[in-house]
Amino acid sequence: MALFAVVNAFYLQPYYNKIFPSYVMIPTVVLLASFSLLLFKQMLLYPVQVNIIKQSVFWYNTAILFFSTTMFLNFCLINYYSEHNINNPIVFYFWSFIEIVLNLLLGISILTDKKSTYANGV
Amino acid sequence: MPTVYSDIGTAVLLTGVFFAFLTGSVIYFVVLYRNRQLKNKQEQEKLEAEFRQELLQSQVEMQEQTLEHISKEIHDNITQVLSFVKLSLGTIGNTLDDVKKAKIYESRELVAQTITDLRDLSKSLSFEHITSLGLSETMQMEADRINKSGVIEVTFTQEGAAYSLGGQRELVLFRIFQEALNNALKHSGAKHFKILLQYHPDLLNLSLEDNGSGFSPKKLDSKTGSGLRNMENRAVLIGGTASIDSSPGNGCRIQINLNPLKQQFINDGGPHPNRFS
Repeated sequence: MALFAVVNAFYLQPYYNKIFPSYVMIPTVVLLASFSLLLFKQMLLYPVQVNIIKQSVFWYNTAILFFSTTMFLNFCLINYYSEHNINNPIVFYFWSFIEIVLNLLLGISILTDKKSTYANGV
Repeated sequence: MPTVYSDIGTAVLLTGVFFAFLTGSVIYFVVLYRNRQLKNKQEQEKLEAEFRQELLQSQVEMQEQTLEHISKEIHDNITQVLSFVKLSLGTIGNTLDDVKKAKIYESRELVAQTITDLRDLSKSLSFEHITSLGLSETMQMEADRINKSGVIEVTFTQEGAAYSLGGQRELVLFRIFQEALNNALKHSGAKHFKILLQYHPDLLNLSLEDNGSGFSPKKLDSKTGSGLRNMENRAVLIGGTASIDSSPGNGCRIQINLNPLKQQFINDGGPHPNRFS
């Protein structure tokens, strides 16, 4: 993916043409969503004896899943908006809302990240 | 414009539905996780309980092996040596004057008494002896042995017709009785110890009561309370329940209830508790 990002930056969606690298971002968010779901599955298969609300990894995973699923369509359409000069503010409100929620969830993840809530080395 | 608003409206609706779906999925995951945690915890507790049972069973077996060994040593070695001492004293006594002969005779009597006491002790430690005689008779013999010492008065009462509970269960009950008696002698300063063995068709009740100083069960530390916990665990091991009731100044009462028809944890087979023999 890193190599593809480099190739994309210079040849497919050159950075000097001010094109948003959607060819990289779309598979990235798909991968993030997949890994997030896999981690949820792993958590279900091997639960630890700690309240899930107090587990930092739960909040971090939820943030990643939330961000990757909600921004997928945005990344798909962003270059379309740019090419057709669609300047609908609702898109930006939506993005702002997603960012707020993402940072909120990441903040909860950091706050719940205490050594006392670790169990079984997780 | 209406088209734009309707587009925006559709987008907002779809987004709202998507968020609701996402939130619902996360909540569902949390519920599922909690259920898994509970299930795991139950399984872990079950495994721990099984492990404790196995450990207790092993401890019981090791203890019985040790006691059997001690019993044999007492019977085979110590009493034999004392018998020889008695014979030697008899030989010496024939060659002395009356005063010394009387002293030798007295010593022979003491040695004979010691041999008898050691044989009785050996029998009380021996698994085979206990299981061959049965619980009731073994307890009666033990009560008689303790009464001879004069340290404490032991009364044994049996109600109902005696039936066999199986060698293993009777052995465990006897060991609990020995432990309770030992505690009464060592710690309570009791002068009287009552044993009540009640045989009912569907329930066996063993009641052990002393009139000693008593104790507060909550104030026992891990070391002094371990004997009492051991009694409770042993009772559970054979499918029974043990309740210990005591308070300072009011002696101690131990009640063991056992359903003779209930399946026990210890396999009741073979003459020796050692499963590896």
